[in-house]
Amino acid sequence: MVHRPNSTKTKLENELSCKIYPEDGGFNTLFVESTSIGFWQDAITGEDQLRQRVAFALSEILVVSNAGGDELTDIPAAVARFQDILIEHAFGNYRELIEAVTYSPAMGTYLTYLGNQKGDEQTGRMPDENYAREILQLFTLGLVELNPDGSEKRDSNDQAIELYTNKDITGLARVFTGLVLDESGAEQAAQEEYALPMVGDPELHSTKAKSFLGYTIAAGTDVNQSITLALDHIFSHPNVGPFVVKQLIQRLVTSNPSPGYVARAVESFDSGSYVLPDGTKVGASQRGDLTATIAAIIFDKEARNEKTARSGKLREPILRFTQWARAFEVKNITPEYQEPLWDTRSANALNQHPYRSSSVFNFFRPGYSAPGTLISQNQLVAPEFQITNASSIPGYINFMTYYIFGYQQDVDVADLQADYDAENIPLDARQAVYSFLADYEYELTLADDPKALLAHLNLLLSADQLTEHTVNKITQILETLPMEEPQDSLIRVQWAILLVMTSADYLIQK
Amino acid sequence: MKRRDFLKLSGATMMSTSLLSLSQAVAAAEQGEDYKALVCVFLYGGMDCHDTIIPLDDSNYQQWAKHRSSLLSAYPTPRTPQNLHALSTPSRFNQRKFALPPEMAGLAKLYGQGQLSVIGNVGPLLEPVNASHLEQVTASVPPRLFSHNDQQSTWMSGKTEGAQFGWGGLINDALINTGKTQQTPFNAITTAEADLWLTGSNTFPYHVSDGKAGIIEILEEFDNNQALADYFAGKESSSSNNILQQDLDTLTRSAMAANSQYNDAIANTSFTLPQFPTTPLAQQLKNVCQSIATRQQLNTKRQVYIVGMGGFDTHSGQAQSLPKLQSALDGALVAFNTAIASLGLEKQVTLFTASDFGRTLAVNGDGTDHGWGAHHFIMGGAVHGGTIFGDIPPPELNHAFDAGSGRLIPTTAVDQLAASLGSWMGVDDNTLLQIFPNLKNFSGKLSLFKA
Repeated sequence: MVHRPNSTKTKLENELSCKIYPEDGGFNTLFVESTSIGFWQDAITGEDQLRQRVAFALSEILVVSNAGGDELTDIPAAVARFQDILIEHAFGNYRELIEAVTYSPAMGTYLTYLGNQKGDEQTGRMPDENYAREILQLFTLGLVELNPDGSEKRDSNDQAIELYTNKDITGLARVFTGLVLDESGAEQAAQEEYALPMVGDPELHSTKAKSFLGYTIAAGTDVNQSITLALDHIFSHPNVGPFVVKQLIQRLVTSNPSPGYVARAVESFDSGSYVLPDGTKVGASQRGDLTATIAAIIFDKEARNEKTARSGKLREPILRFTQWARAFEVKNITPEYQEPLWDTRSANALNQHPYRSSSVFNFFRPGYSAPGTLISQNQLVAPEFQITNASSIPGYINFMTYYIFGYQQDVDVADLQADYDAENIPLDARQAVYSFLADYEYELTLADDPKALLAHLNLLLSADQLTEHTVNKITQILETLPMEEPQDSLIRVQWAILLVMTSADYLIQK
Repeated sequence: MKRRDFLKLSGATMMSTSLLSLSQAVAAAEQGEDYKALVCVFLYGGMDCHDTIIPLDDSNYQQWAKHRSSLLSAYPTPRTPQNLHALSTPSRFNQRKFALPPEMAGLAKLYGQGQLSVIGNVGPLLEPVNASHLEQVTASVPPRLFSHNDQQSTWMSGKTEGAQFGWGGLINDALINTGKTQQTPFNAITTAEADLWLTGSNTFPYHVSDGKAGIIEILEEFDNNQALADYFAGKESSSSNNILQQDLDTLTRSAMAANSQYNDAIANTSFTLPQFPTTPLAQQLKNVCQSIATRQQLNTKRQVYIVGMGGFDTHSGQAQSLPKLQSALDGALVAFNTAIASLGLEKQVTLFTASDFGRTLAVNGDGTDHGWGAHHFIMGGAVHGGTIFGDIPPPELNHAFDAGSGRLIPTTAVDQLAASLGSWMGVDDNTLLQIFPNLKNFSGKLSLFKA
């Protein structure tokens, strides 16, 4: 098996050992939330920050979700392993990543092809089309032909050119039949079979010819070979580069990359190599190399210094929160003690939760252009605006207040312990008050000097993108806060952070 | 001075509870009150039309059961004819009979009481199409069929993802233009994130959840410090030339202003609603009822609402998941109907369902795949109840309206449904033709409403 850097499951096993996997086969909330706990730990404490960041970006393209009620909720091993796959392949090759995703029980469960059977002419049964459709539409090609710069190709009537019809989908659906859990060596009580790649079951796999996208896999080809051929054929399509790369740019840098920016990064995706500013060549020179692609995306001149009125993106709520925890070196990152982090989907929280979007279409669409805005009038997009509304704007402020001001330190330990015991959660509530502790040690030294404090926060949180106007407004507010009692310095620092992190200058990362 | 003007001038926060507690009683009694609301219940994922309106006459039931046999053995409540809820079927269907699934007893009852009807095989169309047109490519069809996001968008706006205006919003725009309602932030309310359907040029989606608008908790602790309140409300924001930032500023300012107005209106209105189930859909519909009960404080005479419910993409495990969804839908709609009646507004509020698409008649083992046309519900005291509008193609494969595997080619266009709803809200026919330019390709609006 591939090395698992900073693996979610490994970390959880180490830190919570047997506590999180109920020995008696029973459940507790903590067990169900272990994928959330693992995500927050990795995202905040992982030393491989860029890898974690790219894995999160990939999780919003190759979407699985344990958003409640279904099998994936009860079997955290599946999504935990899926998180590992994205982390492992974040700097690998997109073709290999797609294969690992295709064989993952998490995706097999989420897009319903685990156990998918071949058709039956007697009963009229057809193979499930779910994965066949979404692997094309969402994971590799999109719906219409693209130019290498990410723009849509047009036919002679100036219409977009659709890539496939439903016949292609029914043809490709035959490929994804006959994948089942590998129960051969797995310890099923620990749900290990959900952490192993699915395997082929010849009985269930379609033996018919499989035709799609102008290509035919011969009748009688087995499941593994069919998948290899199908993924190779899909991956050979010129759309993959622009389709995937443009979304990675949107997740990492800016909502509206110029065609030139997309084309430059696609060139690195296609060639599999990129030369860093210091002359070092990165990438394995194979098409789909993600190291080369990510380097091309973050070192591009448009990511560094060529800014216009169209640049930037609305920071995702999840990333605002993880940034806070990283920026202030928050201590005791123990999400198991943080009930608000177990599910941050509410509009009165982050309106977003890792690996928990409401559908395979992610929290927001890459092409979302909020109706009735300047964004739409200028033919721009701003995906993150899709989860920004009159409920979520104050909701985010409330959520950050809880963390920035350390409200959990006021928790009643005895009450909390009673809750844990009632829920069969094996935790010591006394630890909860130390969890996610921000002491703002350095910031406190600046509390007497709001201008210096703001200058520091401006650099630390917003890469100096707060305008003078905003800095002045925040400074004025801070100056009205009393500085009499010993705790007033801390309160001033906490207010300063909250006001910076809720300002539009900060929220739009330019 | 009219009472509403007085209320407006007096300022929502200053109004006494005793004065406002009258409003509900007055509203219920005020028979001539000029108020209408349209509520869209969007069923995300594509609701299985073939398991919503089920053939009940013997030969069609047998035919349907044959196609659905591998699913039918797995339903917790068997879909035997005696467990289905028969619908009285219009005579044009001759010997064909239809029923609702066992989980929809409440809706079947409302149908029987004339408060609910079915719209058969409705879906996005540009012009009439049948299977041979489709095969020979001799008719225009909407782009990106069978794709979830694009067909959601097409239902709401006539265009694929990226569309800017939805017909709920455009209908409200037209009502503003003709003075039938004022432009307020509360003309178009969503409890989900589906803002497209609600968006027009002068109509913008406003989001509420949990029965109230968002509040900033720390402001309350700081006694609503004005400088802080202004800061969070975006009033102090710098004038950036960045387009995204300008939009975020605008959104923040309008959201915060509307939130405070909305919460004042809710706090100052007294009403009691009947019990709603605890399902997310029912709670969203309760929010809608709360907003409707507050309509006079919100100063609006026409409203469009959208609520959402997911989980209908039943590729797998349909026999386990779909009945639960149907049951939740049934409970939520029945509670809504009761609550609206308790407000005395049953003739002024119309609810309808919509979804990405219907599903295949053919089964993929334990589920169904993406379709096109689907059957939907329309509910309210203004509706011709207890009937089926449009057509319901037979439970067979390869008929004139089968796009393959029993994916129904719609026989009624969304535009025909939408124009009927718009007309009821008070939009004139010429304007409807502008909002729905393809309407002229069809036989006109549906006669959904009593005169």
